[in-house]
Amino acid sequence: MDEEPRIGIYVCHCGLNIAAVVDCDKVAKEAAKLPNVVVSKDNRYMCADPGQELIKQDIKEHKLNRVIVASCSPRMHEPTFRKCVESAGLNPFLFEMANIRELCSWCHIHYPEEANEKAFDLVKMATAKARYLNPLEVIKVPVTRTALVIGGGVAGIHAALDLADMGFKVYLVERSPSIGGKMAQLDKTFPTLDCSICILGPKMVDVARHPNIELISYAEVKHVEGYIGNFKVTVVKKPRFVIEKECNGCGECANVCPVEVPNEFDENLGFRKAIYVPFPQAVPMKFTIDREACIDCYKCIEACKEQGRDAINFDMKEEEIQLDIGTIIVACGYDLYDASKVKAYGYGLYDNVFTALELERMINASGPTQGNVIRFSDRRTPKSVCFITCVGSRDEKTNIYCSGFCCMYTLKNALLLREHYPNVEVNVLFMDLRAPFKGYEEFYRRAREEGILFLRGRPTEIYEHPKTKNLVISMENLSTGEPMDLETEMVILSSAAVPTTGAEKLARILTVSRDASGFFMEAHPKLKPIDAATDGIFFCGAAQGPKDIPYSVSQGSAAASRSGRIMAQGEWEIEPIVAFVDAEKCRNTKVKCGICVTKCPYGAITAEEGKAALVNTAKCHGCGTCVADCPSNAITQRHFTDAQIIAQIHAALEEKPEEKVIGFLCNWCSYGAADLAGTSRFEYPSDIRVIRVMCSGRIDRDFVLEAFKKGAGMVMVSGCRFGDCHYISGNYNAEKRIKPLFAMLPRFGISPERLRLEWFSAAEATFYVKLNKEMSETLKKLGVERIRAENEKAKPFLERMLQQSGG
Amino acid sequence: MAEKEMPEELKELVKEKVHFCYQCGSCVGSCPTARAIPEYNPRKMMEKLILGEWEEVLSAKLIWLCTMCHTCYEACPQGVGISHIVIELRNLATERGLAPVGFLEGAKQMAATGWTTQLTGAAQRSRTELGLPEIKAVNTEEIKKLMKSTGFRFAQEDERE
Amino acid sequence: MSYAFFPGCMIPLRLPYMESAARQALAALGVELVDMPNASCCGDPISFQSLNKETWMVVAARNLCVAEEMGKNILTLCSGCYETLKTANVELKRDQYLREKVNKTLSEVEREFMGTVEVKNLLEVLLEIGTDKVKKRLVRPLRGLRVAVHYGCHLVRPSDILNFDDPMKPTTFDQFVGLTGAESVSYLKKMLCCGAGLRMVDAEKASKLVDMKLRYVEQAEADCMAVLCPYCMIQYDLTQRMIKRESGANPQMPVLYYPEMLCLAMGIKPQELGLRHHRTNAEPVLKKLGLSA
Repeated sequence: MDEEPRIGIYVCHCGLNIAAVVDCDKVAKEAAKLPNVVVSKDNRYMCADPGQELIKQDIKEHKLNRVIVASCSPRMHEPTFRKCVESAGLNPFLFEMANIRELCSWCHIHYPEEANEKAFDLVKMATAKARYLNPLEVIKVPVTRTALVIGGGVAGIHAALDLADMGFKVYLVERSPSIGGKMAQLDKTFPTLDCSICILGPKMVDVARHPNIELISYAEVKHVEGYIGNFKVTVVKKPRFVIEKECNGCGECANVCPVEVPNEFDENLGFRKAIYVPFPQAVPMKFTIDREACIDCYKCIEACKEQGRDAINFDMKEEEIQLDIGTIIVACGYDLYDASKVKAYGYGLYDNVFTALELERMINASGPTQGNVIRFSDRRTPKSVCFITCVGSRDEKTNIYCSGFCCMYTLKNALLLREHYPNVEVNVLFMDLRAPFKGYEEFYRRAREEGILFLRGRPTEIYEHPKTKNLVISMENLSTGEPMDLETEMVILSSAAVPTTGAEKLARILTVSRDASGFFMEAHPKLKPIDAATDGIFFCGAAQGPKDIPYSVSQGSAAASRSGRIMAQGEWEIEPIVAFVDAEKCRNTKVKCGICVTKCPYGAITAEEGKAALVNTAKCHGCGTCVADCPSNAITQRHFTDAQIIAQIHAALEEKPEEKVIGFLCNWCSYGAADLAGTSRFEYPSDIRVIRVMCSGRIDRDFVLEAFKKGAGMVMVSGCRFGDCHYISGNYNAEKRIKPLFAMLPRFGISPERLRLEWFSAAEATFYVKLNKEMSETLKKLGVERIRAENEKAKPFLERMLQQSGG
Repeated sequence: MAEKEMPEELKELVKEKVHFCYQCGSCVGSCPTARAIPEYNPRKMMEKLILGEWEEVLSAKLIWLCTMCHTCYEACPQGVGISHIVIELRNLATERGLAPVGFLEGAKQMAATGWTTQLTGAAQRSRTELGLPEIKAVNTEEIKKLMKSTGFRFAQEDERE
Repeated sequence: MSYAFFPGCMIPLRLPYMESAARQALAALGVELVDMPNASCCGDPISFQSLNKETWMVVAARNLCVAEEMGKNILTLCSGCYETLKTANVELKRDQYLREKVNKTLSEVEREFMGTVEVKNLLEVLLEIGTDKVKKRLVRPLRGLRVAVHYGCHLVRPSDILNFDDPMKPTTFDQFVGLTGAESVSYLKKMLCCGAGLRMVDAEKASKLVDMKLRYVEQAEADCMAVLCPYCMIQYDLTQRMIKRESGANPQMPVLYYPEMLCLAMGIKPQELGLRHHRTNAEPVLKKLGLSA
């Protein structure tokens, strides 16, 4: 901006929320005296129509080119006021807010004098930043109207069908030879006892038939680059050794194949041939050769030729396919926890201990035992069966979470057994029975009606009777409070759901995060359960966390909706709070640097040898970590520039700096906690002057040094707790950067307790209050004199350091 | 019963471990003492601690019945570590003079000879017969000193009694 | 191969035949057992730890210091000693604060824990020798002998400290019994505690636990039990006589200490071992093996 800033300041009363404590009229009058301020008014409700009209009028009348509203939290109304100034013809990024409600009037109710001082300081700081604001344009990127769905289970199938019906082209990539996922392996589903493949099969066929869906099976995603609307995906098709176009699924090849290997689809309880389809309803109905099992007898080729086809080709190679994709949906499902790891229950050791999925395959009419449930020790039907829930779940030694659907599938399995074998004794051993959704509790009731016995208690261990091979379960019957041994002829373990194999690799390929348990992590657990933090990528189904079929289907449709939302208009807006590199200052042109490249959690920066680093603005999320870590100060973050932040520091410390705490708070967590403290009306001392950044990663060491140079009493740097950073790794980088100051500052004469580095979440208002009280105590304990003396002593060192770093 | 303040160490332990107990009964299923003695139930013991009834637990004979087989420690899905809690309870009970005589006898024997048991005549004869080397005496001064330094006062010979 | 020999209290002072069998078996395998000067009772993990955990840890640490001065790893024969010494060793090695505290106390007796040695149980030592080498010496396999293997508790639990085998379904001892040519039979409640820890407070109920286990062992038609710990030995061998069944008779299940099995399989004559000192007659075992008492 070349022209002089012409600033308009509006101090909102917010009814009595602010005005009861802050003398808005006085603040406005004082603010009018600040340089470049043309207009300074107070008003009852700035966000209401009259307030907004006032701003619009003044922009036109007084030719304002900066607007400041001192009112509530920017996390609340920044978008409102941005739209307001935009409609008056002013660039929305020439607007700044001073939070004098959540951060001032609401939390210093009984100290109006201090509150007023603070309110004026906050307005002064906002004004200081405003002078350095630049107009910014939202970045519009074109969007490819093609979606990629990774994973062809029930969630992926529904996502693909919904998107295809909306008119978008969809690639559905599935790594096994057929789509269907775990649901295809089930016999019946709860709570309706529908035949699973009967309800899934038609959907699978729909996928194959849909003109907008291209199914790429027996393939995996190898590489993804790009950004929302503009992904470039490399898919690798594994060689089937069967030409899909030629194969009609007649199966004569399998009939003559001499090799039998365990069938994964049947949980290795039965066999398949080396040339096979995984199950009779497979989509696509094309054979695949398991090359490792194959003995190269080529009988299959002969049989195929006899049928008048020539579909088998042993020379097939891996094929790479490049796709242009607009949005990506991750629907790669889950795996079951390996029950043999729970040694105490004897799975894998004892013949008659099975997993629930093994039972499903046995009881399924087209399964390895033709629908007969049999003990493996003597091949006969058991007279009694015990189900054990929570195997590998809710256990700090295995998986801490509850797998959500096991209680229900246990009930279903118990009912199926009872249906097939009316006289079998069926016991369910459980800790808690979780049946939360529609029809679920009724299903539980039905199980009881059918005479299934429920015993509350978590078995400690299982032994096998040496002769009969029955199982003896040791547990406490919680209802009677007595230990007991339950002898049964078969045990079925309901094991936990765990992230699918390959989830870690896929997460890295997509640069998305996974949560502590390894499931893909949504952007916000309440309000954005489908979106990944990385724009343009969505999760659905068990990939995001264990869930049942209705929930998976709902999420599939939700993911399609979120994807469609982006692809519908053909272009997408990206907030311009991004980083850019000043090529002349970039060190990489002279020596090999690339620090920014390594720091960026989104891979948004590239630095070719000898060339300046380049930020892909569409991929940049605006954390500012690269800005703070650049050794040549070559990177700038728009709307959070060094000049803007330093201006706020200077403004805050103009008066009585020794009595003040300069607090850097990150938008997502620590600032959220500060807002919450205000909303909750928690009172705390008013020493802090808050400077908002998007991420703690933005906080440059120089900011801290500058604050002390200007005489600050204390500096507080804060952000999200480790693991929670909205930008994945910003806080780690901030800690690495700021922590050394604790050792450095005392060498300049500054007491180390004058710097605080704290990590807390947006929910931790009480933590924030306690922190402020502590900091106030520290300030009092040290006293203005001592602080002033320390700062004087440190000044030459600080000045030298700041000069050296170019800050 | 008067609810006195729970001792600090027990409070820490209850807060950090016992509060996670979700009463599943895994600790009871294979507990040898629970099988032999119906009144003994480690799960109920943990519940009493959660409810703050620590005094009742400390003064009862029950905490001395655990065989320390640690099956509960391994079986517990919440990491409560029941057998280790019982050790802590026994330590606190000992301080209050509630340790069973047999346990104290062993400690006294250790302070006196360095061993918790005595070499019987029959055993000595066996040793000679089997050609085993002589058992050397132990310098119990070190042991006595260590006992004293750690505030263990139950092994002293009853000089003042 | 040379170890600091830690037989504990119970074995040397109450069950010397166990010490004899262990010494003979290990000597035949070329293991040198060096006496630990001034080693005391480890600090019983039950009766002593229950009184004062800190004192117990310090007494255990003192014993570790003796081995550290010798520069040798410790071989324990008693599972109780194994638990005590290994727990102290592991915790002092990993918890700096605890180590400083304990060393402060140890300095009063001019000792310092350095964390330079390891604590091994008998099976770990046999694994270090190598099962092949051990097998070579077993020239007289105990074929046909059906053995109910009893691990006991403190050999495998608590597993986060001992880290020796699976705490609920271990297999090492079974493998070593199998190595002698005998058959390890499967039986119910294999990991049930012998009940020794209960004996001091309620001897009758402790015997109930012994009876419980013996019934399962009998159900599996075992010829004998095999143990690795003197307390388990006392519970099963010594107190069997106190158990009166409904028939009026006592159970008659012989109990062998594993080194005794090794010795027999090495061809050492039963007379050289102290089998006659067993309180439950071990002759049926010898008879089954075709050996004379």
